[in-house]
Amino acid sequence: MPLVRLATPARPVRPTPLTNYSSARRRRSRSGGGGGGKAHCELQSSAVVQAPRPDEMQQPPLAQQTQRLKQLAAVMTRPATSPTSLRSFDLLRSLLPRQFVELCKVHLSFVIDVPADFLDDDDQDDDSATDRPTSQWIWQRARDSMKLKRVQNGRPEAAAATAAAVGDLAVVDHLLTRLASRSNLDQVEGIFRKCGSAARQRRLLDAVSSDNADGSKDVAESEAWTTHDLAGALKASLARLPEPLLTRRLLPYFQQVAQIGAPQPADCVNAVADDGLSAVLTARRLKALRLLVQLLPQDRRDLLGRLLALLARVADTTDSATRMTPDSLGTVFGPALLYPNLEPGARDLAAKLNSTLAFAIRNSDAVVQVPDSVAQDADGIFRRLRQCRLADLADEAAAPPMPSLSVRFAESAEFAAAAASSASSTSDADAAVELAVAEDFTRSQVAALYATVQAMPDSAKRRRLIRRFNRTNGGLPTAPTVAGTTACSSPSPSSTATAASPLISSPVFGRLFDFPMRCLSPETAGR
Amino acid sequence: MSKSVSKSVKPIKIVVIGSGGVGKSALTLQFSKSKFFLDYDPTIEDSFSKSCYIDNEMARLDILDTAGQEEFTSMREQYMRLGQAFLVVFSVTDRKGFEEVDSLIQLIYRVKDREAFPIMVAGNKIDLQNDRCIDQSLAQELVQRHQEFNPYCAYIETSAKTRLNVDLVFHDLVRLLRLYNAKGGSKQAKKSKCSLL
Repeated sequence: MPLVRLATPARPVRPTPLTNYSSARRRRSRSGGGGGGKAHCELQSSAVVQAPRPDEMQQPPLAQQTQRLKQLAAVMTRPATSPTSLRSFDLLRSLLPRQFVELCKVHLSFVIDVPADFLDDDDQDDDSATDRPTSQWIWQRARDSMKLKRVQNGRPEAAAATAAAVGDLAVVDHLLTRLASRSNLDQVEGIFRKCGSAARQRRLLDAVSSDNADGSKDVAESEAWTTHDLAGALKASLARLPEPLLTRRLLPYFQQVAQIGAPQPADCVNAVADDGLSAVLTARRLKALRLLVQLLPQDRRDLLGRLLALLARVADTTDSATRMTPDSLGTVFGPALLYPNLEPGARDLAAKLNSTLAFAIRNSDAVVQVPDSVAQDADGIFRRLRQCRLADLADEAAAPPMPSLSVRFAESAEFAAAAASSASSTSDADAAVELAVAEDFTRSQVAALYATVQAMPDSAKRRRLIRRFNRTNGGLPTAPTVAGTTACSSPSPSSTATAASPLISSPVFGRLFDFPMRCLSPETAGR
Repeated sequence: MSKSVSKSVKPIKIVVIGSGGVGKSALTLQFSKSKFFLDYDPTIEDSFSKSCYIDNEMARLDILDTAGQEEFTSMREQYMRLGQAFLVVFSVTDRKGFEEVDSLIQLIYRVKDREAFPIMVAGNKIDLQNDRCIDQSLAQELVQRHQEFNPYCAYIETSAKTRLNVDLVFHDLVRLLRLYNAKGGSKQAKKSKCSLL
């Protein structure tokens, strides 16, 4: 089928995890500096690269590739430190939640596969949306309470009370605080692994939740709980949260982070030095986790940060008194945090998810930081808004101008700059070329995406995707439709790209990544 | 010759259960690989197989080493349904793990929907005599309570570290299973001759 040929480079619509992994990486490496990307990707086969730069033929030496990859990784992992950009980031999150999600989505799409309707359901009332019980949730709760009832053997009322009470973030919070204040936290062997007494843990959970209900602290203090009791109760309270700590909306994306660094296509690996590549993979994993953590609601984000810090403390004992490594803790906490409803038998997936959690524990400090590139983009958005506001004041009568807030991808620019300054062979002009190539690549990918959508058989899905295109661009002319379709059916990749190019130079596509800012009132925007 | 025999023998599915960190994996690895592993990694699920002669009869054991953590209990009922014999492990140095034993045995009865089933209770880590907090008599008492209605239940003390009773515990479990099958306790009771000692 001809359209497959076009779709292959990007596979934009519904890719399998593996292809999408590599396509994301292609995008990433392309925009993150052509030099490093070229080295380990088979871009030559893609329809996009039309005119290879003169030096593209000779591959840079291996050491240089490694160095470039490491530079890229270093840029990606840099946390935001400047107070202004951090402030902009927080402001954007609190004032313009939609734009914030959009910004995170764009950045996320560089590291993991993000569907078009990423977090789309959330308008202002996302709290009510997340707390709405699904049928799956109801079943889970029913099963839990049945389990408890069976265990308690003839004390069903106590079981019901437990089941109702434990589903509360405050309980987790309380237990976390108490556990963190334990001095022997790093002395107890097998903490979180060995189970405490089940009956005592139930009593503890009941006590804590009833204390939280009436605001006193008496019942929970009345008994001398062991560290194992507290640890077990904390684990149980996390596992039984009606809404998982990482929220049902974001869990799938947290799970996708596990696929980063999964077995790679053989053609990509052989050419590149391993440590450079693994540095980039680590950076991608870290960036994805950081973005996802920032998308969590405030209270959950704080709680997660404290939990990871606690686990890191447990794992960090050098004399290994606890004998719990980050990997062990990942295995033990994985089911509670990352996959509350994994079907039995998915062992390999479970192991991967556990190692992701272990990674988060190892980087417990870094995971809660804001990626520098995102904070800079947030800063940029506010700067643009301020300019728009000034323009607005100057010209009241005119219709409010549409601020074009395209994300600049601080990373790619900076990486290019870093490469230019450090690598002796690369000049400024070279960096500029790389940037241009990166932009070109994005455009042609968008064109390919559009053409693929157009070529899809008429279905509800196609109509939905087109509606999305239209919504993002304020309406599409019909002419490109034809161009896109013919492009798809044309057999040669080069003609595909040329057919698509007039289409992407149209203003419609130029604005594709702009934020839908026109719904903002100037007051909100100017703040 | 033994190879052809092992092919003709139907494997016996043994499931090792018990709470976290009691030494299920250590016991299983000591039996199947004759090694004591020092690493302290929680198991999600592992399986091993081993063939051996027990009372001059070939037996092929498929051993499923399971997770002790409560979080993995969703898998628990599934593998319990498949198991033909159970090894319930606790650590003699860990009171809480011992308290779990009874509820685990009850769970086996319930999943299997039977009053009697081949269950071996193993008190592990008896090389750590100084830390011992579960007396032999305490464990014996528990098993005797079960033996009143389940004759296929027994208790053995083991040490995966020193390999004490490691073979015995698995072999005796197979003997219990053969006894159980011979008595026709199982639906798929063998018509073959009784393989009693």
